[in-house]
Amino acid sequence: MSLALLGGLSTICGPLLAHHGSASYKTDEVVVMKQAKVTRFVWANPHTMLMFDVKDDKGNISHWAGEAGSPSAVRVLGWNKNSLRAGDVITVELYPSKFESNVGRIEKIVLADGTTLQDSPRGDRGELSRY
Amino acid sequence: MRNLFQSCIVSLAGALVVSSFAFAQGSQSSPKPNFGGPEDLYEKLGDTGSGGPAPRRDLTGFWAGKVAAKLNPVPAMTPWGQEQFRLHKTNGEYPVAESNDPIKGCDPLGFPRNMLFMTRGIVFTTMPGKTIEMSEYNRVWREIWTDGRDLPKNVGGRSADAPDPRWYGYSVGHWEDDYTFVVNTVGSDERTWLDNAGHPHSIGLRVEERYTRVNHNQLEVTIKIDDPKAYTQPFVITKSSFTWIPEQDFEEELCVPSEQAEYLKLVAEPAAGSKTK
Repeated sequence: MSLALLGGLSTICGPLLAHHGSASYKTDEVVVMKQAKVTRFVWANPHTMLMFDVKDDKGNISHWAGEAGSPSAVRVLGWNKNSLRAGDVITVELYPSKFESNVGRIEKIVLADGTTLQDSPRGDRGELSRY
Repeated sequence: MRNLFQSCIVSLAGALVVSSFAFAQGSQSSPKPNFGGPEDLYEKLGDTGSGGPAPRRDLTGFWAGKVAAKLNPVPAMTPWGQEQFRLHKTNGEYPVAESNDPIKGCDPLGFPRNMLFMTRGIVFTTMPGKTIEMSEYNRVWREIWTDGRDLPKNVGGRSADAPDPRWYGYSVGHWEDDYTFVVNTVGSDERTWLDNAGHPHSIGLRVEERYTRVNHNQLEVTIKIDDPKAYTQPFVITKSSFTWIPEQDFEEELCVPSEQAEYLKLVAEPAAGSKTK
């Protein structure tokens, strides 16, 4: 699915990704998806994973997967294993894959109550692994 | 922050087309990416003060470190080292799905890589004749013999009495003075990488770690690499710091093969264009 078909989608300028897995993702674009519906959240090493659905203006649903830092990396930022549950409606910002796949590295998530779950720091902060 | 600003400017033109379309759909602009927040417990704890003087000859306890140690440049590699290095496809240079980093499949980090990467937490405790050093990541431990024995010789040799290589090598340690514990290690399995950049090591690798307890709350570690088969000269690969964890507890941090396989299937491979969702 083309990114442009997603109803709640926009892009913003973003930092450079530099480490683990970054070779797969665009480094200059952050995709924003609103009204995303969580289908699964996996609290696992080396990366937490979030599966979610996004509906476009015509009602077509696309399935997405995003990765964030490891549990140890994001726990210090306020996440835990139950931060996200299936059915939650959220906003997701992520760096999309360079390829035609609905996958990305999460920048941050905004919950329905406005709580922000920021992914672990990276990019211009030196010897970071993104784990 | 300046780098981030420059990145935004450079990327703005590329993002403009999609942004314009999206805005036309009625979506709102997003907040700027946020770089705030700690990256690990070490950073979250911040400056905890000295906590008083260091106890004599005692490293016992839980210590928080950085996710990854800051590494010094490696010296020139030998032809053998260069060839090994050429074969290593790192997670930084390649999509995860295409790398051959051993940890991609949850193989052990091995030593000394486990003291250079995923160093969020280490633990020391003692037993008669040995010090045990444990790592938060994958909850592995190393036995550091302190009973005066020598390091094994001919690790990986063909003779019947030759010890086998180990993921975490063979270690002996001694107190150089009341506050510096020195550990020497040999026998690290050649399948492990030295660091995330894919630098190699041979079975002939010798590593010296110097743990200096500066005060109660601060521990400094210097790691020296000596591997003539792979590098043209010995070198100090890092000097890193650890902080006493007040609660003396840390995360369970395991690389689980089944979870890693799922990660590769659901995220890493599609992200690399290996498969389509």
